[in-house]
Amino acid sequence: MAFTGKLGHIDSRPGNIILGGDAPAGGGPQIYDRSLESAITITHTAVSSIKSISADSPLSITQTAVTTVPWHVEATSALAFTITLGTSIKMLSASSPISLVSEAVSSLKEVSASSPISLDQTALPGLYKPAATSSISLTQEALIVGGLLITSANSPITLTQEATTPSPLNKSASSPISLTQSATGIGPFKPAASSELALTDSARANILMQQADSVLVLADEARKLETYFVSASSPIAITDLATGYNLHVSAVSTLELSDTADTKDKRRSAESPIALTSTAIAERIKQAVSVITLDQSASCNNIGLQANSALSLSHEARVVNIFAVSNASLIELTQTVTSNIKMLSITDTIDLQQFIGVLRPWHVSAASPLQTVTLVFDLATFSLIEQITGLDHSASATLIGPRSLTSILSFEQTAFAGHAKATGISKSAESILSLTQAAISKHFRESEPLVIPLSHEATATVSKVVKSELSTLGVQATVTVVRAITASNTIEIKQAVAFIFEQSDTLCTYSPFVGSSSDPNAPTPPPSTYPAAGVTPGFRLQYPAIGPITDQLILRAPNLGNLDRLAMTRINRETRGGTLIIYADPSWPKVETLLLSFSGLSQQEGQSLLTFMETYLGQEIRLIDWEDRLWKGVIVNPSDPVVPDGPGCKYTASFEFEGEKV
Amino acid sequence: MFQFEAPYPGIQTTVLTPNPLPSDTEALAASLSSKRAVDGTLYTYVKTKGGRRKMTWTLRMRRANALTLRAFLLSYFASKVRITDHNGRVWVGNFTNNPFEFDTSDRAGPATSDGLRSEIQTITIEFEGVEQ
Repeated sequence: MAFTGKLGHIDSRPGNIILGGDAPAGGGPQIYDRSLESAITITHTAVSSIKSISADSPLSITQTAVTTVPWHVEATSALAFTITLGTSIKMLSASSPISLVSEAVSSLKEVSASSPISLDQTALPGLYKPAATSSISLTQEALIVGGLLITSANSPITLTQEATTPSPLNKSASSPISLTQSATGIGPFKPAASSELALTDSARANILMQQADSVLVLADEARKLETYFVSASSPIAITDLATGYNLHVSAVSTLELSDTADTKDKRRSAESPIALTSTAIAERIKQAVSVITLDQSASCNNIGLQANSALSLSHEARVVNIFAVSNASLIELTQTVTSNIKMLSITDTIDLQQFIGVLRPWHVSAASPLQTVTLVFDLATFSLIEQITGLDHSASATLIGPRSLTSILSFEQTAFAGHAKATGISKSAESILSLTQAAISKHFRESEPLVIPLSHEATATVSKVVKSELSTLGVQATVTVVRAITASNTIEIKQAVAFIFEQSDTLCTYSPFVGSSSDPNAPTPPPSTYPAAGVTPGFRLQYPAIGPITDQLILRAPNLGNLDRLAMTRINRETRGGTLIIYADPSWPKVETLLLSFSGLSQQEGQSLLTFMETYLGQEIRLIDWEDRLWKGVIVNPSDPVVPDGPGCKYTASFEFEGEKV
Repeated sequence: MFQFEAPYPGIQTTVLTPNPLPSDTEALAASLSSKRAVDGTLYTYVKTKGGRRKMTWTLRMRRANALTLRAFLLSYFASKVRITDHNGRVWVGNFTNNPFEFDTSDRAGPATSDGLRSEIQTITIEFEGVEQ
């Protein structure tokens, strides 16, 4: 018996995103992006020795996590397991008729053997002792990804369910389930950022109780003046305690983060799946290239943020007396989650696309031979505008208008899960994660001095910090009975031997060449020999057919031209296709008839024949033919006349004798 | 030499007889139905019989040989028979005449050692089969 669990899927959405272009001094990017992914895989296997048992174990898990505010995150996840394992023995007596039709073809032509095999199986209650073991393993993985807060939580959950049946008739299944959940998170924290994440998981079931408390404590401390001291300690303690009859779960997860900033130059290094690269080439130029918008408002000369990550961003801008900013960033992330459970695959693809375009030049040169003009689509006016880049020493530039810088970051996550069960019904789970980021720059005027103020304001809507939905998990148990069915196919080979003796008197003697045959249904061959004729002359009609003779009539031998008629009962049919079918059962009658005529009889012989036929009309008589061979039968045409052909012994008589040769 | 073998395909018994008398026949078993439409078009409907043909042979043989054939017919009158005719053509089919009539038509030579009188018997065999 094999139980296959359905896929449990947790939909995840990113956390809060706050793009603070006007963040306070000393503050870094205030971006909080959390995403929690929870993939739960369940493997439920139940093995029973009962062939005719079917166990249904519906397992329902519901988990809900809600985050209230970005800074203080509280997530409560109520995880409820309901496992009902009823009596699995639904059929104490099961009949499994299996019919196999096997056709065997012999090497002999026109021989076909069909071997229908029918198996009947009956399971009696007292003959089987059901014992079912069901193990369920859950693996839950939670990942929180943010700009500066990167938290990844892995929550492998393992369920082990065992069901045993103590007696053959009553099956009581106990399912101890063990859960192991661990969550880890890594990420830098901005100063004065405290985040407390409380998770409470409570799961109750008839045989399962889980109590999970998850407290995430983040403490960042930044000291003022020119010394940036960032100390972030974020112990995340997750304690999951589940008590029940057969369940005990305890999970402790601690997340430690450390961040150090020097006095002048501030560097941060973070190892994260997200890499940030920021390079300041000139003092007046602030450049941020990242999936996450960077805000540089510090008065330091150079600010460098560098991190190594699989995500690489490049940003290049040059300024030669002309303020031109062009940003183009395309970020693609692909995340693949693979479950260790067979027949279950989860793929999460995260695509990030960021496009930053400068719709209008900051400066417009009136005339410059070094300028180049390109057409750029203006989203504000929905028209193509000319973008002029180049150098002109004598250019007088005017600011065309307020600049709008739009950076759209789309973040999509799609998870598809397919589960091919034994019954062939596929399930799909979809998780869509959308993130919208908008950056709007403020006015920029040429008349302002060297420092180019770049205001970057980003607003983000907290869609949902933590959302963890665990769809209902259904466990179906299918019973696959594998029997060793032996099929036998008997091919009957029949053998026959025929021969011919080349001899000179073949056509003059009774000489059928009778061989042998192993076919029991073969017709009885003719006798190899024919009894020799007797020596007693005369054609005799005797009565009775069996026993002592009481009456007898002796005649001369019949005339030539007598008929020996063989009439057999036989079916002669022709099918629609034209095939001729001839059949005769051996028990069907075979009528042998002798048509005899006698001539040269005397009147007395003729009268004696009539008297004999009249006396024994319809009675079985004995006939000894002219070769002294004995027949037994009835004269069937007593009305044939005795005709005198002339005077003297010229009487002619005939009759038809129907019988069989003894 | 005319050769009867039966049952086919597991041949067990073989009987030899003289060649048949002249005027043996061989005909097709297929049938044809023709219909003529009102416009004069002739339509023919053919029903083939899988190459089966109808043969008649009249065998004239001595009585001992006729008894051999008689015994053969008694055993295999409903079985499939393989016949090798006087032209060497091999046919597989069935006897179709019923009854079989052995006509003792004439006298022949001296009696044989088994007491059978030397008489000539004649039988007409109707056979439908497919040439192999």
